[in-house]
Amino acid sequence: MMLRATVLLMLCATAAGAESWHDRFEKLGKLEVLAETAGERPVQLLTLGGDGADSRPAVLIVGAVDATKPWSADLAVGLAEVLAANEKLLKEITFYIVPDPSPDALRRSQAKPLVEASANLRPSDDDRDGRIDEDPPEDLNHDGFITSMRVTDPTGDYRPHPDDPRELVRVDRTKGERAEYRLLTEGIDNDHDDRWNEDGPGGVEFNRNFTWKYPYFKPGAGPHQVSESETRAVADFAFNHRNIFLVLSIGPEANLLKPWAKGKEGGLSKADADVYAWLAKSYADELKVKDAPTNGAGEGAFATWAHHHLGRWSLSTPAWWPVVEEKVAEKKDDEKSPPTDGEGSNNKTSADEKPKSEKKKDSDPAALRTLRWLDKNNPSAFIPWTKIEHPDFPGKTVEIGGVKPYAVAPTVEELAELAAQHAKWLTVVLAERAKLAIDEVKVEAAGEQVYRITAKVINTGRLPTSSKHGAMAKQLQQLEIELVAPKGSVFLSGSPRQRCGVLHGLGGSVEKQWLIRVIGNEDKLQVKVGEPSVGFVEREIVLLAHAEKP
Amino acid sequence: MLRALLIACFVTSAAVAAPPVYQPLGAPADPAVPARWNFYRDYAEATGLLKQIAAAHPKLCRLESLGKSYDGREMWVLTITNQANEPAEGPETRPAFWIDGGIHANELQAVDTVLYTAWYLTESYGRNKLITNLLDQRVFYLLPMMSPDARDAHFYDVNTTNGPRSGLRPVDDDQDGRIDEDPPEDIDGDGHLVEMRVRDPQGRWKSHPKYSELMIRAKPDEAGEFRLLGPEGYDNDYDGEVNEDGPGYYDPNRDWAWKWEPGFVQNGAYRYPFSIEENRLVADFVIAHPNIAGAQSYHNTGGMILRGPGAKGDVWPQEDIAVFDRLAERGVEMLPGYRYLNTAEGLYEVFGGETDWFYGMRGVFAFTNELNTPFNFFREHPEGRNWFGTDEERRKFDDLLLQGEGFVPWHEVEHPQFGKVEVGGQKKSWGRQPPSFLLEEECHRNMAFTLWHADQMPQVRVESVEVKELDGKLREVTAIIMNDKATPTRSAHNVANAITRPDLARLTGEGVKVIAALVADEPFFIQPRDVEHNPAEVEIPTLKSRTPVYVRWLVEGGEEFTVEIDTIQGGIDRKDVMRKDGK
Repeated sequence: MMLRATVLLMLCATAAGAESWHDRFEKLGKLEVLAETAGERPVQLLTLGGDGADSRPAVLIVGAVDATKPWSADLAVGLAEVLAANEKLLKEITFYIVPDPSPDALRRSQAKPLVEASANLRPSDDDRDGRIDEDPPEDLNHDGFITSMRVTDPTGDYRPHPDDPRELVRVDRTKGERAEYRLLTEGIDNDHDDRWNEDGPGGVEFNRNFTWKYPYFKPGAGPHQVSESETRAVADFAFNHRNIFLVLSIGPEANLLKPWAKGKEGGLSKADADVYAWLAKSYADELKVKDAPTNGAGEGAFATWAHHHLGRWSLSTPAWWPVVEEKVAEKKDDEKSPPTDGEGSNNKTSADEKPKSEKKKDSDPAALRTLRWLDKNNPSAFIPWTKIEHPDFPGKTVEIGGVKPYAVAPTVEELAELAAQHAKWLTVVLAERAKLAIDEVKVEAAGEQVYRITAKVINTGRLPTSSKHGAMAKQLQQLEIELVAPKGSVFLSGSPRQRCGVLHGLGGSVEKQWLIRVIGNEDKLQVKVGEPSVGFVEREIVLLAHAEKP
Repeated sequence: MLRALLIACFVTSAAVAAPPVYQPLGAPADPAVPARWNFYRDYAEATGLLKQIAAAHPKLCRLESLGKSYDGREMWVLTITNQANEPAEGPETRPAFWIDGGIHANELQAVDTVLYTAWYLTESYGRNKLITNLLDQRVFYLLPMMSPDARDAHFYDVNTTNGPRSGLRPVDDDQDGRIDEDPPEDIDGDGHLVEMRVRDPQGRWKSHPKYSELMIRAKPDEAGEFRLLGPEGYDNDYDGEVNEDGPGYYDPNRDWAWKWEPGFVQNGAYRYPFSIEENRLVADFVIAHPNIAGAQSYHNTGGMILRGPGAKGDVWPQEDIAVFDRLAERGVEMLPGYRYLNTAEGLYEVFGGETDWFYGMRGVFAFTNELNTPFNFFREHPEGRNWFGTDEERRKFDDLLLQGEGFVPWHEVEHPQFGKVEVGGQKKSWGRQPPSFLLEEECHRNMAFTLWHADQMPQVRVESVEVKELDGKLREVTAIIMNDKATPTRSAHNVANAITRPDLARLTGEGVKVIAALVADEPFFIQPRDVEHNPAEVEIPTLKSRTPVYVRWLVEGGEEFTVEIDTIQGGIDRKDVMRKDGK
């Protein structure tokens, strides 16, 4: 049997697990605790780069932005392990890695009964009725899992998927479709408000607690933006490290799969959209992306915040999702792996009786892909719909079933491969980062001891020195050129330190000029240019050697 | 040292004096805590006064610190209410009013107005009926110094009347990797940050014909006398800009969570809402006290009663605007020269302002008063009606009433970059803050408005309960529930977003079985709402001003009934009734 990644995670995130991460981390680089959560768990940060790490351009990697994907924390650790072995890269770029930004939320992947949850455990009035955590789900069939509940009801909104009746799909009444079911999560309506399990334990979601398009008053958003110690710690760390030029996160925002578009209202400038499109293409080429899931909404999300408010290049990917090998189109003939449970296969038969045209019209590849993937990789993870007696629905047929929480996850082997692939792609992208060169320094002797100095700076990388938006967001240090003239020199024109603006990729350049009067015998001057997120370069000039006579 | 002595002096003179022969109206002449209201207190003096007030009125006051500011000063909150008959459920069930000042620390009198309110409330309890009622029924949370570090910076560091608006966390304002490296300089060390000029026949400025210290532009065909060189200071970091990165800079009043936007949209916003620790302490306190139903944040300048929204795209329900309007209508009468405006339309657009957060995320009716108005110079509206009055009007007031104290006369100093220059201009103590003789009036009038607002916070009441016998053991208990005040128990915005829970009307009694409940907005129950679930506890969305809600319970059994109305912002009230009473 394959070892599933969630099992590995269980080892990692237990009390002893923090130790086990610690052990793995310690071999890699510097480990520190950014914050302690309300549940007294550490938010850990690993720094790869050794001495002087903070003085080099850096990438911030955040795993498990969505705590319902606990394996994405392991992927971040795996990625760290591969990157840590790349000594050449680490001489140029520092990596800050936060595998598990919301450990209280991630820890819920070990709760009993198991329920998929992305929020931490801050007591919250999710349904805003004045009562806190008063309507949690209940494991009515005592199988240890909170799954779904379907109630036979023509006034509901669901019917069985014509291709696979295990899956329920929303009806479109404008197309004459009739509903058969109400679809709810497993449990009872504890507070009798005709809503089921709408206010369980917790909480605040890491990925709903940031400032960009903050979803006011929505469940999971918290009492206000950046309300949680973990959110604040990650945000403050990022704000405090102006050497970070790129943020890579593993989560539902998927701009590496479907790049953010240009446009107004949260859209990007054309210049930035073009860069993101190129980065997404490099990702697709390297990882052979297929059946990509849809992009997250980004409201209050980490990745959108990192671009819009932190002002850095922000790349985000779910990294893994169920992919079914080709031939699924002919699934019916191919269907060699029916669910282990008899009732599931019975349901399947009923689907086969539906007219073919209807199947086509309703086919929803994303919804069915998970089931097909499960059939092949983890068939026991679908709990077949089974009747129960439900106190809230006397006289109605209520069935419990569905996919076990956290069951859709990559294997340990797949994770290792993903880590290697992501590291390889990242290395390719980082080779194209903004790189400064002092292209030329011209010294012109205007007369006795008066020199005109002209320096040209060029960006030889493909990435601009900052995104267009980043320049506006003002969280990065300005790219600045400084002329260090011989002691006692007088600047007749041009301040010693001048701003260079943003240099676009592949040859973006700027020229700056000074007129100075040199007093004394010193004849060396230096030109320095840079800012922490692109690095610094400098050049020394001997005045007399270079001076052109007028 | 002198300040310490002053405080000591206040303490010793606190001994009870004989009652005065003649009590003026307004503040008492024989207060338990003697205090003058014609000067400004620094952090230590304000702290001393708060401690004196709390010590002199232990049954009314609790002084606590929410925590420490960036530079280690206490964030004092004085809670004022009559502790003697606090409700059984705790003082947090009394409707509460929040008052703060000095979030922009250069706006000095904002702090003194809060201190005055603390002093006046405690001194007037038992003397004045309205104040006594207020402290018996409501709670006041007073936080006089929202930015205590910057208040002392205004007192002791180089500043104009306009600074510091920021707190003192170091910020790299010009993003050059150097932090606070180019502050303004008080070149001559006189404590005032003024203007620089040089005499220059090629300059385009000249003296004002009437007020020679004032600089005015020469006409195109006139010779000038002076060249202006900007505010006192020099280019410390040789980047070609003067005074571009001083202490701070962020705006603590752009740091609140409602409609927050980052710095590139809203100048002065820091990293994220409540990234200013002092504000976070306040927000945590306010969130922990949902009984706060009204708030006032004092600022200066210009004479304004401001309500939100601060952001133009933020539309507030008309019903709530009507409540603001009613409250401010009287405020304008109390504060001659003040205008009632909404921030976005009447002033300028503000994202992440404090009082907008009070309303937007806490469901609290809140005002920002901009204290000090040039109307007070000569009790007439100044030309152009700007916030400060014109230069001429200020100079006239200075000449006629300040005996020329408002201005540092031009005098020569040595500038490290320009050589000999002249410096001169308006003192930091003049422009935004009233002079001594107008300060007490400013404090009192603004307090009067705030107390009117506080008095109009919701206060719920079970107006009447009647029991009617029906067939068998069936009885009908009918209650009328009221709120007589201008403010509803939940704003329309609160109801729409479920910020606080609904109001709850409960019926209890020994042996009482509640079998149904009906709610109506008229006494005949023509089209009542049937409370299907849990009829013993009826949810009422809001209790508006003098808009009764009628609740009728059908019960079985019971001889004694208690009807309770339990609200978050409007307090709790209950009435007991015997069965025979209803017969």
